[in-house]
Amino acid sequence: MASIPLSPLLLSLKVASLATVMALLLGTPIALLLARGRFPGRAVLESLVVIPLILPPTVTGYYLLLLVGRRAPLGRFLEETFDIAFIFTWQGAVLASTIAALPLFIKATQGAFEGIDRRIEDAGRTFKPALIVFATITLPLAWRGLLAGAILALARAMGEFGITLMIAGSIPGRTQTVALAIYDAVQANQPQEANALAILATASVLMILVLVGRMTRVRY
Amino acid sequence: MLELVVDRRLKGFRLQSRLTVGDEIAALCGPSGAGKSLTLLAIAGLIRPTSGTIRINGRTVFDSKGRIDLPPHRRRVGLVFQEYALFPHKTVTGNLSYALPRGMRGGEAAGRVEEMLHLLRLEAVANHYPHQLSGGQRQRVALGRALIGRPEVLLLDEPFSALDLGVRETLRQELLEVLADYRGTILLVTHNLQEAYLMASTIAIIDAGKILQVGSREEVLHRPRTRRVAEHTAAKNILRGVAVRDASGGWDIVWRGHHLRVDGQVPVGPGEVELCIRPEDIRLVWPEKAAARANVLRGRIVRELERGLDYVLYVGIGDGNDPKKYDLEIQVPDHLHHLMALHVGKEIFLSLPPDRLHLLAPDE
Repeated sequence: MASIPLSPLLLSLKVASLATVMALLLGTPIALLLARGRFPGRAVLESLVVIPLILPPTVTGYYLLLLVGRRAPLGRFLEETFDIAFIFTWQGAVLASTIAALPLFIKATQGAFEGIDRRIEDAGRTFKPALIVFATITLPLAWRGLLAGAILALARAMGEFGITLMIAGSIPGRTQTVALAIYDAVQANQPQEANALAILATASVLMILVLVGRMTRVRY
Repeated sequence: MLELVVDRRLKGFRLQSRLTVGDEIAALCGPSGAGKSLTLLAIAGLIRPTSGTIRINGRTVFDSKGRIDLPPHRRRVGLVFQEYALFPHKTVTGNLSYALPRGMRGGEAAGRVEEMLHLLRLEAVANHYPHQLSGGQRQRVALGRALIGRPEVLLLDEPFSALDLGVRETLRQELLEVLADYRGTILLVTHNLQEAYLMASTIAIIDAGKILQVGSREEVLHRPRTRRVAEHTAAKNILRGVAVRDASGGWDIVWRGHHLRVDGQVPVGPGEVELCIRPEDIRLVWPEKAAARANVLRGRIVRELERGLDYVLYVGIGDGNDPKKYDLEIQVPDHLHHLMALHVGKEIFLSLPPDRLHLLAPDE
């Protein structure tokens, strides 16, 4: 049997988990804003958030290219000040997966925040400062929704293909994730490698889901 | 002591509360949508009034001009929410200790929780979650949570609305017993006038965002200031008459051709006036004794409503017999109904006691 190509899997896990963390950090405040905020432009923001879910991934990828490409002002700024480049790098794959995962995470989390009775938080606010109430009342009550959102995000990030291909490409050992590697293996007529990658990917995703399910038994 | 002048403008609604309450139980009473809960939220700091001031024992917690707006947790206000709003992910003990001030020592905090559990007879369920409690236990936890931080003002929002009718009576008694030891201002919100009367010494009637009258519970019930207050306190009989000078220089109110005397009040001048009398204040008199009573009218029962413990009689003055047209509504106890052998169509004599007839000021 040919050597099992572990590097795409490791890269996939790294990219997907980083993308999930990014989606969590970016998505939670946006979800809270959408669930609670009454501000002009709310409907626009809500639509903007789901766009990556509906557009063909290649189109989303193309927009990202225009935004953070080497010649785009934002891309140049990021490269010059933070030394972060997205084109043909694993950071680009993280960005692609984050954008893909964000809508799913935000939608799930927004629902969780909306499901909390405002009066329970108000009750908390009569005893503690708003930030502490958020940490001790809101987050614990929304915890399951946040987790569901994170699982969806992770799953979506693991399966990311189109956007990643557009901005990070498929460079073996550098930006080639499992999803891209399988495509290449099939194209190159290497069924053994494709099989191995597919089984590995399925097994690792299953393991994650089981672990997460164990962690989230609720007491009350 | 709570002093409150707040104005909050919303789309299609304006709240203008003006209220001063001492260290007593006061009730804010009015129909739903009157602005009762909004007033409580403003006092607690959970909504911001457009303008005004809120003072607690002389301490300003909100002042739109002075730009003072203390956050809720620093106002020393305890709020019991309508459906209690307990923290579902915390036990009874957890709910109580959450409300203790930050930085309290572990031993002292445990002592305070222990004390509160004992006072409210919650020791047995100390480790239960809210969904495992009965309605009465939930109410007690909510009360304990609001009281444990020793607030200067306690706000109760419809404390009985989440409970079955059968247990309300007992729980009202319990609540009063617990509150008897509380030294501070209690403001209770309810849409039920009887509940307000049973719980509070002062009643404020609020409608459409405005406080219409504040006074002792007897005053509000028997001497409503305006027609709108009379309607809210179920005074039922609102009579439109004409004030005229009588022979001795006093005032008479002429209503349906009868001259009525009113004690203790003088109309602003001659002309149209409104006056009211509660259904339970109208006396039925035996025909032979009618001459000795004041403000006696002859009428006929046109309709009656049996309510189990008492009757409501609808009476037409004179010889009316159209069940849809009546002039007065009277409440009589069951036994009197039997004693006087009352029935629809019967002619009766009524007395409107001059000390119970009450002149209303025009609505502003």
